Amino acid sequence: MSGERDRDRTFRAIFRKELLEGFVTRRFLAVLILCLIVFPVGSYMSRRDYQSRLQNYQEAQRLYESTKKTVGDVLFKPGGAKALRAPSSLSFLSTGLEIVLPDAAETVKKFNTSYAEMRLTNTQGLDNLYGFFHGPLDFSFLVTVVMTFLALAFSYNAVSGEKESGTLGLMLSNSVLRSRIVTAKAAAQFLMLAVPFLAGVALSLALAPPPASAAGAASPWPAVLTAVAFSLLIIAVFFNLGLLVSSLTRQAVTSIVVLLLVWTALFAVVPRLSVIATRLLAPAPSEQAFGQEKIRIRLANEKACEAEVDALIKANPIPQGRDSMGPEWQKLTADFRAKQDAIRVKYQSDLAAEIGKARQTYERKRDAQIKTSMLVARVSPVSCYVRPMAEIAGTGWLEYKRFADAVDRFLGALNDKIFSKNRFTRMEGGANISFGGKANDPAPRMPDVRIPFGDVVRDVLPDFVLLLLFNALFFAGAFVAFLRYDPR
Amino acid sequence: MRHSTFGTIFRKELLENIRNQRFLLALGLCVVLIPLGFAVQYTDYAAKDAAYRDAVRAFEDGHKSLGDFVQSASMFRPPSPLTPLSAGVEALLPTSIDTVGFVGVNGPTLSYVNSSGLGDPFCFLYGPLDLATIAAVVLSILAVLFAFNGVSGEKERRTLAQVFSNSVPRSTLITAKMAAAFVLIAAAFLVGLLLGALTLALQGFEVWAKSATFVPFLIAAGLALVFIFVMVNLGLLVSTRSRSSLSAIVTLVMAWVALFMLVPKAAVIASKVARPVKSQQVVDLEKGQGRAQLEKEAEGEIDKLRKTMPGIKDMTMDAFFKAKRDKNPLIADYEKKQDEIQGSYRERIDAEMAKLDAFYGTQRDGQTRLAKNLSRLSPVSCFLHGVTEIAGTGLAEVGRLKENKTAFASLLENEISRKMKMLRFGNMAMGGDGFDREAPASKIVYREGTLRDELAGVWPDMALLVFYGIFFFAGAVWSFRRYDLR
Repeated sequence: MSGERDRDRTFRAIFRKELLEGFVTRRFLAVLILCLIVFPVGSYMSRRDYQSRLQNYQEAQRLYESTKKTVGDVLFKPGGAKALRAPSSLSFLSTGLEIVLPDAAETVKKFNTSYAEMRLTNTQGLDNLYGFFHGPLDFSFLVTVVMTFLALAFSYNAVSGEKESGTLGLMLSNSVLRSRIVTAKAAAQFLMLAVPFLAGVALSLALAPPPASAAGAASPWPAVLTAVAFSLLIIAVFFNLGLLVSSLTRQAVTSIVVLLLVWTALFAVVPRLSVIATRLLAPAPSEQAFGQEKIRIRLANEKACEAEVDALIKANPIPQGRDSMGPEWQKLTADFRAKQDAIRVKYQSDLAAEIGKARQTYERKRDAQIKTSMLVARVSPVSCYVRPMAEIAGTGWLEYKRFADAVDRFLGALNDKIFSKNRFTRMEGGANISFGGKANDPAPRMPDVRIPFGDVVRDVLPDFVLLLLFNALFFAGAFVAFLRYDPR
Repeated sequence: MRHSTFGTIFRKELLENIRNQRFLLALGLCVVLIPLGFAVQYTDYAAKDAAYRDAVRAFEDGHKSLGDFVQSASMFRPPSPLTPLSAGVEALLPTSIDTVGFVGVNGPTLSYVNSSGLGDPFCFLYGPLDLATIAAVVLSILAVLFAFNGVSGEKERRTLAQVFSNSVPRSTLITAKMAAAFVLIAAAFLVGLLLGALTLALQGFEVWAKSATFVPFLIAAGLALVFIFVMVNLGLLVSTRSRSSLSAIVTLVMAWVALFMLVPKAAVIASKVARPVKSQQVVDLEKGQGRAQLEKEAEGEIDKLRKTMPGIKDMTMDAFFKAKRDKNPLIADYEKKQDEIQGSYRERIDAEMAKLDAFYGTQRDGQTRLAKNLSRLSPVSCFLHGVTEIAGTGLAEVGRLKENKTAFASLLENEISRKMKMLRFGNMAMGGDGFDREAPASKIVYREGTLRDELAGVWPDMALLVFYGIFFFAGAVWSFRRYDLR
């Protein structure tokens, strides 16, 4: 019982010593000041960036809605129908894929078809070229680079530095359990790192609370808190990695050189190599190649359809010398139109089936590639942090899928309410286009549906667990290495 | 004597770096990463190039005559084959310039389209593994690791005092140290580059086959060598300013984070905050609205002409078309006056659109210029600007896109809009002819930039990079002369 109390006292003594050392060396103060500056400034800059993108989105939406009020506007005015994607209000957490995600979808339609397709486009690319070139300065970046470096700076000399200064030998000359030393050191130093980080985050959130999304979805706080939890985990991973390397090396300088190389590998090399490995393991055609495949299918279908219509026109010549307003002529043309409509409907459904099949094959391969990429990249804890942060911020792959699905549904509504009522009939020496719907009906709009946060949590949970495992692994490694450490 | 001293120290440094396996580490990284990065970037390019060729072929098959251009026309931008050097902003650049709606009497409306899609999103999330990234991240870290203890480490081991017990000029010592570190990293880099070029050749892209690819490769390699020189000298400078190698490496890591990440990124955001610009989406919609307004005004004026022109104002539609069939000279006069109105509005629309383009173009250029100039505080940005522009995947491509868009608009306007006749009478519009619909369509070719264009844009970055190298080296020499060996 008293042994247990002694051990607790030892733990507390070392814990206090580490904290005091942090205060005396002003390490804590330096990190606190850095965090109190970097996070509010980073957050302010990212918010300004978001505000300008939001303003542009709202202006574009207003201009579009003022020009495309009715079905007739969509049909007859240039530009067709459009759906705009609102920028993510949480992009200050992670810009992720925001700049490369499509920000609009617009209809592509030929005058001789009674259906339209929607093309996803990225017009914001040209607005953000230089930002894309250097990358964002968001919360995720600050944690991935600045905080992980600070974590390494706190732990690289935790063991090897004490050995060099000779204090480790002194400490171990007392009856102190090594396990208590390493645990107390880890706890105290991580606390000195976590407190300034949380203070910086709290200050930035107090100065500018997270905005609600443009679509007015649920509270942003669950996402922000999840992002903070992820951030604490990645900081802890690098802290424990530093502790591990420090326990395995004899000198602080060797420790930091090794850590620098490991950091470069984990941050810059492994995630990029995972993309390369995925291409070899699960190859998939590019979206552009799939786009070309669709064009080929459509052209072949149109050619076959028009050839059949040609044959129909030849088989049904316009009777000469008849009264064009007379009932007999009217019946003949109605029969002819019905036959042509049947041909067009048949080819249209063939086209939809063929494109659907090609899309399924493409999406299966692409999804397999993305899944493999995600798995391989998880070798690095940085990937386990970067991707989930993008998903939590609504700037990741889930957001792309959400927008693409919403556009698909919107296209269905457009084809149903507008384009399917557009009738094109080719006749000898000309063509006739008629619209069977109501041109003055209000133009359909795409509803903005957000991803439920529960779905995001389910998606990022494996990464959260992996980060916990990385922490456990590195700390256990440091623990074992310290138990066998030679303080001489 | 100095030459032999230099040679001795140079050899000693070389041997030391080879023995402590730093060179082996650098060589291993370059030999693995550069060929691998080249292979992947080239595969990406090949896929994009195939898609580009397919798109051009499909377009040309469906657009054989001028009449086809009225419905839709596109100008396709070929991808840059030099993406292994730097992917730059290639992913965000438009793949084509397309007409919006029909090409009418008032000229075409053109918009940029990027159909390259997202593909594998992780490429964007983690960034490319091109030469620019490998040099900016891996080689710069290696340069720092080669140089951080060049002076402070020798002081800690007390070998520096021993060296100075001989009559060795300090400048010779620091120059030899710098030269040895530079030569070793440069050698590792060049071996990697050579293997990378061989990998590309195996994939069918012979870098040396054309001067259009070989010269940019040489310039990019040269820029990377200058960049290594800069980072080695920065490492030496910090080493001569520090008392221990530990404080040297900690300072260098912080400097690296600031130079590689904070300065360029902060420059981008600062420029956005200082000079906000409307998005392309908004500009396009505003232009569309402006055009629609002017077209409405033109229609109103034509309607006014119909209602006021003697002889025409009292005509019914049937009478008007009968008179047209009878080739009544009054109709020809009316048509001429209508053409004049349409011509003047076409000029006005052109002028308005050009004014809007120029206004937003100037604003956007101002924002980019500010960001670029601010980010030039970091040598990493200078290096990245240089390699990216040389690879044809940089911001200069935006200027070329604008030039091509203007040329494309002129082509459509000269061949179609200016010749097109549209006769309006009340709500009825007829015509859309006046040009030869069956005439073979002109070949639409995207004008790519020449190496001279690229170089004109990057010389400030090249000059700054050289300046940084000399500045850091001079700083290291000056600081080393006053270094306290005790």
